[in-house]
Amino acid sequence: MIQEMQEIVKMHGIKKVYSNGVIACNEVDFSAYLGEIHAVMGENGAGKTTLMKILFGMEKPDSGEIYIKGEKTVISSPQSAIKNGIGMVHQHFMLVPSLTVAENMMLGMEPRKKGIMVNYSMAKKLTEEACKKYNLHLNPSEKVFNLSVGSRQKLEILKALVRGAKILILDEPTAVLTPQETAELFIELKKFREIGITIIFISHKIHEIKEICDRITIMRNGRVMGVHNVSDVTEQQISKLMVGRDAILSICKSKCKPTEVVLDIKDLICYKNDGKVAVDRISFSLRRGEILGIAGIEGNGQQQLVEVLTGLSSKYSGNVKICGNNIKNKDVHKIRNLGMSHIPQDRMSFGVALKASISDNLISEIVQTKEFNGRILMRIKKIKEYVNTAIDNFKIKCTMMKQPVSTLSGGNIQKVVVSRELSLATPLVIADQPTRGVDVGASELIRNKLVEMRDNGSGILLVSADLNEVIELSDSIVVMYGGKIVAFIEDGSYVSEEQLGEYMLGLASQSEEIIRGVMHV
Amino acid sequence: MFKRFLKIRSNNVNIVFELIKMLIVIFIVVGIAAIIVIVTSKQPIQSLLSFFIGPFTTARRFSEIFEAATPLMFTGLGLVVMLRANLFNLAGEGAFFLGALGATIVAVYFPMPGIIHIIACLVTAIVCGAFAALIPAIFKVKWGTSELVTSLMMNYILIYFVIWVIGYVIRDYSAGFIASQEFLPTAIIPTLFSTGKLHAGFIIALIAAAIMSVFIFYTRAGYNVRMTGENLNFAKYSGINTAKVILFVQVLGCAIAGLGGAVEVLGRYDRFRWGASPGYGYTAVAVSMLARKSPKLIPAAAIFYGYLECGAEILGRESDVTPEVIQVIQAVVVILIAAEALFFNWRQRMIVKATANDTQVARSEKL
Repeated sequence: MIQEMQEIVKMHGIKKVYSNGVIACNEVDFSAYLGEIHAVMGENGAGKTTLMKILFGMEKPDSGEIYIKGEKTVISSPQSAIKNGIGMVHQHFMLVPSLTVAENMMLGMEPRKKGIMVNYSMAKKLTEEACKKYNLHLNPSEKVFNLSVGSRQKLEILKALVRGAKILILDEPTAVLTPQETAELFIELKKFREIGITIIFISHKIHEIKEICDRITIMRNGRVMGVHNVSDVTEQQISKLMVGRDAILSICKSKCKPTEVVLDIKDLICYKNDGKVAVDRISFSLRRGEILGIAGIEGNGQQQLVEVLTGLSSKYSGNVKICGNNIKNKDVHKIRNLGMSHIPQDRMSFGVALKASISDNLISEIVQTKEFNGRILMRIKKIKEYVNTAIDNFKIKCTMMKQPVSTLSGGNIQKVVVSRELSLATPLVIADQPTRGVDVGASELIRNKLVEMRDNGSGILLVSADLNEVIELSDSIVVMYGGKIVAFIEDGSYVSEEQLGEYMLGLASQSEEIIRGVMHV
Repeated sequence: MFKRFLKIRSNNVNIVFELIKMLIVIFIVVGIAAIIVIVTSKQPIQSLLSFFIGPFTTARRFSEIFEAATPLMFTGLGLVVMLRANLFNLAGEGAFFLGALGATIVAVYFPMPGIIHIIACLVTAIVCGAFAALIPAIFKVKWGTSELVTSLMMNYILIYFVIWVIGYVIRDYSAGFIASQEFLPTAIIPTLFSTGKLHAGFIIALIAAAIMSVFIFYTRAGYNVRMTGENLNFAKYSGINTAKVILFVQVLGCAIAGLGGAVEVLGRYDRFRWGASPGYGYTAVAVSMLARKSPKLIPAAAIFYGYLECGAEILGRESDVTPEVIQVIQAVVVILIAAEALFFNWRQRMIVKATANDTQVARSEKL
């Protein structure tokens, strides 16, 4: 497949130490050939994102050299990386939400009218052309804050391509895409390979790497564990190198034993910020002791649904009852007190306070309860015990509890969030993309904890774009499309990914009668 | 056990670094002050000595350091509490002045026995200070108005209101200058020592700093304040009533500043005799930055400021250098402290070295 074995990027002896003393990369060597798709694989915290940030000029290595096309190059900033033909699509998006798609696309390279004024119609046209060329469909005049996470990612990929990237770094690009979109993306990536673009593909998903990558660099704990031709290694070998053990790829769970209804939704209509209908008159219920998965392409109303259920938005009509109590006019605190906990989709802006300590982030719920407060002061000793137990239970990798959360890896940050939310043992858990962008080890831990919660009698509403996760974890599944529920699958273990995909894309839908099966009242 | 020791090591770098940085900053400040004095003075050695050593030469002067620090401790504390919630509210300036007026009225017109009179004055001042915060706080909660802008506007209203009350409503025309009538003796805060004018207000300030440290780090309300400041979205998502926190913390911060006004006027003066606001609310910005937003460090930061001001005053009395020099020096302090990224590269090198040590020891431990 690789016509020329010309080394286009070479990184030698890269070392990076973060200011908290964490060694993210330790004497790492990395190289990629011209026109290959090169996978970088490793658990969260293995150092792959850091390595790529160094290549993209966002982090300064403490030692080591970078060679582009054999020439020693100093990449001091993303600007100089772009000049050297390197583009990067980040896991957490770098877009200006208040600007339109076209404005974001052209940021810093706006077409000008007579050299001064920004030519917006030209920008729109160029954006449309780029969308067409790369087969990623976006509305150029839509404001970015109205876009779903999936669409934002498409925009990010387009942005890098438009800037003439010859080396394209994709940091977990498929995490937010549907199977169909992923398949489309892979076709595009293969086309790029043919025209000589080098793609560095960061991923946790072994089968994706097997599908499209030529070579793989596996990292663990800041070191390179091996570089292989993908065709020479099996999935089991890769997974072994990555986690140092054989990752179990499915969750063991017993059959669910649902009891009383914990979440009851009737004729719910939710609105977006601009007043448009996002959720269009849906009704469903969730019982204790079951996991109900909501599958759907992002931007089909799941986000607004979750915001309403968790009290973050009050733009809705209809009835929502949690444990028999209507949530009308209740704020987040009161809804949480009814017995709801929430693993948010956007963990960086809602799930944690990044600069605050792990301890502070773990206690935001329990600190509000009587148990952890004396008459005036918090019960510091009790809180410390609690935090230590949480860190142990969820195997949060840290040096001490006073360390800011921002110094943890993505997977460990999510463990902090999940640990905090699940430890309350509330009857209702709303888990919104609980394992997105989280490494295999942490994902498994989180999924098992969710199943454990179910077995202990909680009802879990799982919203996920990861179909495997939905199928693996859910007892029943509903599919949302265009703000409506288009399918209800009572037994989630008897459905194929392809079948769900058809419902998700609106190619098929069930009769209302079957969908009514999700009402258990 | 050994492992734990190892892990702390690279973290020590940050603490050591902060300390060294603070020392360097102080050193630079002193250096710049020296240059200014050398340039502007005809007898520079003499002037420098009176500026730096002067405050320590007599007990009376030494006491002045702490006298000058007292009002700054209150306004600094008030501001730090608000900064913790990520609110940059400068209404402490107006609150301080209004608090002083409130205390004056009670001290002059409402005779009460001994200590009760003082307490009544202080409580009045707290209420006045809290009142000063109300408009910026409510505007912030209701409409998201910038508390910085509204509090600055509010200060003009409050300060000129106080000056008007003193000048036209409760003025003592027999005084010969614009001032209130003399305080009743029961209202005056007693001095601590026979020499100097250091008064019990300094102790009150220390107690306030202790209470605020505990409040911020060891109470639920303090936790809610900190989280609101760290990440508003996170606080809302966690169910913290952020509107309440934002309202409450500004009222609290300004109440402390108001208390400071009462303590200052009853501790150092016999009557309200300011013709303009002394500006402690604004100096609080520099003090709270020096204290790194920590209520615990506010006394130390305020005392350092008191020392600089005391030195400048002596300089003004004993030499040909004007006390305005202090303002230049204060500006230098703020700029240097605010420069968070100062010496960043140097710190990074220290950390890399420290981790190299860590891993080396870790390896030898394994063997």
